[in-house]
Amino acid sequence: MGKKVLLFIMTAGTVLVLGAVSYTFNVFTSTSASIYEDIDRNPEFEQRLDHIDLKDGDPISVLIMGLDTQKGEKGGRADTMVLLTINPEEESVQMVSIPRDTYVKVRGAEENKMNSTYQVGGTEMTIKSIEEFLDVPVDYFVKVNMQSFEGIVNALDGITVQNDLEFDTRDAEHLKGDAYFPKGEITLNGEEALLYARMRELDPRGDFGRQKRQRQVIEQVIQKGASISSVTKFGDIFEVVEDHVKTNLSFNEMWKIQSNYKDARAKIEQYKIEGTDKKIDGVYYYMPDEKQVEEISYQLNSHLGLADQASDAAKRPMEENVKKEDKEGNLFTTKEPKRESGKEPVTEAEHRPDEEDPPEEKEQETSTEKPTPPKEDEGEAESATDESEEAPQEPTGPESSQDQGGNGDPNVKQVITDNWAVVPTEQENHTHITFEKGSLDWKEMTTAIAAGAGLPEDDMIVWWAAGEGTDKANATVTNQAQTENYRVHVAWVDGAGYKPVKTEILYENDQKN
Amino acid sequence: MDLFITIFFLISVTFPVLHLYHCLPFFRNNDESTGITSGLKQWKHQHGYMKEAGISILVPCYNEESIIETSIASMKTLEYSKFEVVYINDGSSDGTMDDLNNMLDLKKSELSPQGRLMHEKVKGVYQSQLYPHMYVIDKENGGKADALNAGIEYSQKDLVVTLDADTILAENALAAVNKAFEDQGVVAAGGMVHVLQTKTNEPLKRLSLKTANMLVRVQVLDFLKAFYISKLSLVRFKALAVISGAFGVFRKDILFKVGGYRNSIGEDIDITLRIQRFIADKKQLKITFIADAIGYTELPETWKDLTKQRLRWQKAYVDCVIHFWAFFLKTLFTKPVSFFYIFETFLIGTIAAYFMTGVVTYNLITSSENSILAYMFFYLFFLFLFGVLYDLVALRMNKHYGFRFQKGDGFRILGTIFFDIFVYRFVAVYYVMYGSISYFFNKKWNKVSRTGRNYHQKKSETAA
Repeated sequence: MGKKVLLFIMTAGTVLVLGAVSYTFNVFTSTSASIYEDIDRNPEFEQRLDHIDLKDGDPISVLIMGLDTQKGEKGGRADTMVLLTINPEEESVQMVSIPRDTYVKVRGAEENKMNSTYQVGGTEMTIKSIEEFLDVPVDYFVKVNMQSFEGIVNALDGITVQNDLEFDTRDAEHLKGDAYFPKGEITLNGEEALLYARMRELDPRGDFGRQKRQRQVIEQVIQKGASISSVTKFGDIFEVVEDHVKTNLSFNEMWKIQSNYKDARAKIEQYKIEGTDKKIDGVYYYMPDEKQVEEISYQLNSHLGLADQASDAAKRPMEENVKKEDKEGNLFTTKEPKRESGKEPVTEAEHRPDEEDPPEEKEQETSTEKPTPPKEDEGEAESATDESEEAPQEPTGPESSQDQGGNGDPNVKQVITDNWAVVPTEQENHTHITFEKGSLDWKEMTTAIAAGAGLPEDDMIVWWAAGEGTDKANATVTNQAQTENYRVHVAWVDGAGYKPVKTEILYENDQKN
Repeated sequence: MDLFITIFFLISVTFPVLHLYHCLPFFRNNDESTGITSGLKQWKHQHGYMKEAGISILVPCYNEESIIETSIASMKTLEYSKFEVVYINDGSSDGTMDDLNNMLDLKKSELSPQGRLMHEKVKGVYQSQLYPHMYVIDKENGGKADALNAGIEYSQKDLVVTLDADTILAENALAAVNKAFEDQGVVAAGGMVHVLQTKTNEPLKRLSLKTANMLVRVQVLDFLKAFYISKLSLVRFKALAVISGAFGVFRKDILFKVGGYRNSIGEDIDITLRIQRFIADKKQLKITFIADAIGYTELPETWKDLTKQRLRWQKAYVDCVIHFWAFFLKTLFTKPVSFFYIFETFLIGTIAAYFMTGVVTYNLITSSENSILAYMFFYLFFLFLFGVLYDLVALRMNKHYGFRFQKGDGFRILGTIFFDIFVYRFVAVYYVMYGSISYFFNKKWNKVSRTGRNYHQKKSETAA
């Protein structure tokens, strides 16, 4: 009889173990199946993804998108966009919030905003827009529905953040939910974390403040998520995310990132994009500061180990620039702790009265006035500021870079910088570079390119042209005989037109495949 | 759905896991023969001290002219004194009867039936003049069950051994049977059946895969698993539902008590279940498995024949589910035999095959993302691993009971295991599914043709 009991115990035990194993596997595979979303990649970066080796700890970039999707609604808006670059070798993570109102040309949308890209073209378009905007490849994305965010935080047993602004969401009209957030270290449950990350109207810094809180929350979720060691905990999270998260990470990739990249969280640096408010056709936009975007772009690229690829020599000194500022502790790119010290030049924030949604009308592009974002209700024409302009870290101009021009590229024979004249523009509203042959923008740009190359326009063949951000481009050109090869860099000067900024004489035409 | 599949998967592996543990020698019943004949018993046997029970060997023959010579030759080698062999020619249309006459030199016998079981008309009863313990019953065709009933009617001994015409007994098989039936509680038993195509001239020790084709090899594994794992475990639970028709042993009085064989597609399952039903309320009676009573039976060597055989087996299963439905229902949770027959063989072994095939197909068609397949593959991987383990345990058990494969068979076994888990098991599922349905449309007994090999001659050749 005893043997029979033993037999049944052994059988039951074996079956239970098999069950536990298969159930776990099942939860993981089915969840990662249901959250998986594949997208078409920008051909420019497509190859990169194939070469990323997560086992080796290659640096990667991950876009975290927070979707505000109501039940039953399709699509929704990507209200939160945070790009992370993770470099396990340097053991660091860089985070940059992309303001949702950032001006980008969106075909087929009413508003040319970054967060309309998602409505119009889905994840694919958002990623392409961000890649173009920052000139940084977006390897992976994680789309989180705000609805599930609560659940994720709860599954992590809450998160702890350093709050630098006391507020009570009962005072906020646009938020449902009552919670009081004192200053200092606070622990938030899921519901509170969501309120904390969404609140904007009570923060004098407006969207900046909110972006910062969002990054804090994401950082904490990463910190906690990376330290998960139990499989059941993973199971809990997976259950929450199943219907609310989409990603192009496979289960296997998530697993590798969790195990190989978690040390990178030791140092999380945060960036924000400075810019000015502007109103076009009655719609509020955020016009980022081009230079600063460029610097951030360089920063991210070099963090991804793409410094060479972002071969723009012009960017090189900016790194020094950034570093210098780093030491001064007075910078547009700050590490979190320093930010806490309040020394960062978000000085405008303190002066801001309560900020509401889109400030109405805005005109000036380069005002140097103190920033005072317009109040929503009044709709008055207050001018916002291009912060970087007043920040003391004005980088040295692109000119200074040119002596180093050829260093990075063996194909460059000689670098020429001249004080070229601006090609006068006939465009009234130039917002980005069009690579559409025959367009006015294209014509003006090729004129500038021809000027930079010193070739008559009708003797020039444009082999390749690519944008760098929204107002810079480079083109590889030759004369008709293909005996002279140039790479010409042009930039858009606001209100004036295109201007060649640098010309590299090449040994050979590297775009002629 | 996922959870459902997981649970389903677990239920499916429960019985195999149970048998896998239960077949181990550790779980041996106290009254079970160990498979190893002690020196004393051997000595007693050799010197006539063992009390021998009389044994009648019944061999139904329907068109068996190709194998009959082998059968007769093997009967001559049996080391036992008190036994008779009864060949029942079930109205063969070939030369079976002539062959029997030629080889045995038959003369009319005065044997008379007991008159307790129904069977087709007997045309004549004969006794061999060369071997007086061999008899032949020549009757009208009536099927295997009918032939066995006739054999029982004319048999003269207390124990009845039923063999297929292509079953050859090892020399000591009857002694082992005798020993097992010394226990008066044993009313019926199954002998160990090996594959005739693997028989060597050391039939109690060695098996050889050399001359067997892949189909036969994989059935060798199948038989090892069925007998040394599944049947052994079921016997220990008192749940054995099939005493193989290839080699079964019964007390004749129990056969009479249950009314003999039912003329059905699976007479061997039927008789076993009849006996199980009969002894259900008689605690001291039991069915056992005699691991050291060895028989060799010929297996189909072509897909066509294998298909016929397996479909017949499956039809027999379904037939008995229907025929014994009332008994099963009444004792579903009180008698192990009902529990295992319904839950293991019928629900999980048969109904689940359709279900699983349906689920797999559905997922293949509907899931655009390959990820659903990911866990399907996971389960398949699981099942493969389990299949290998099952095969290995069966081989180990084979060794435990004293059998070894010929030198050089290692690679053949390895290849067979792969063939088993990647090909054969799927074919087996097909047999189960197809057979269950075709039962309702075609209940014909598809007799498998014999290979026509001359095992007797082969043996002498290798011996020489």
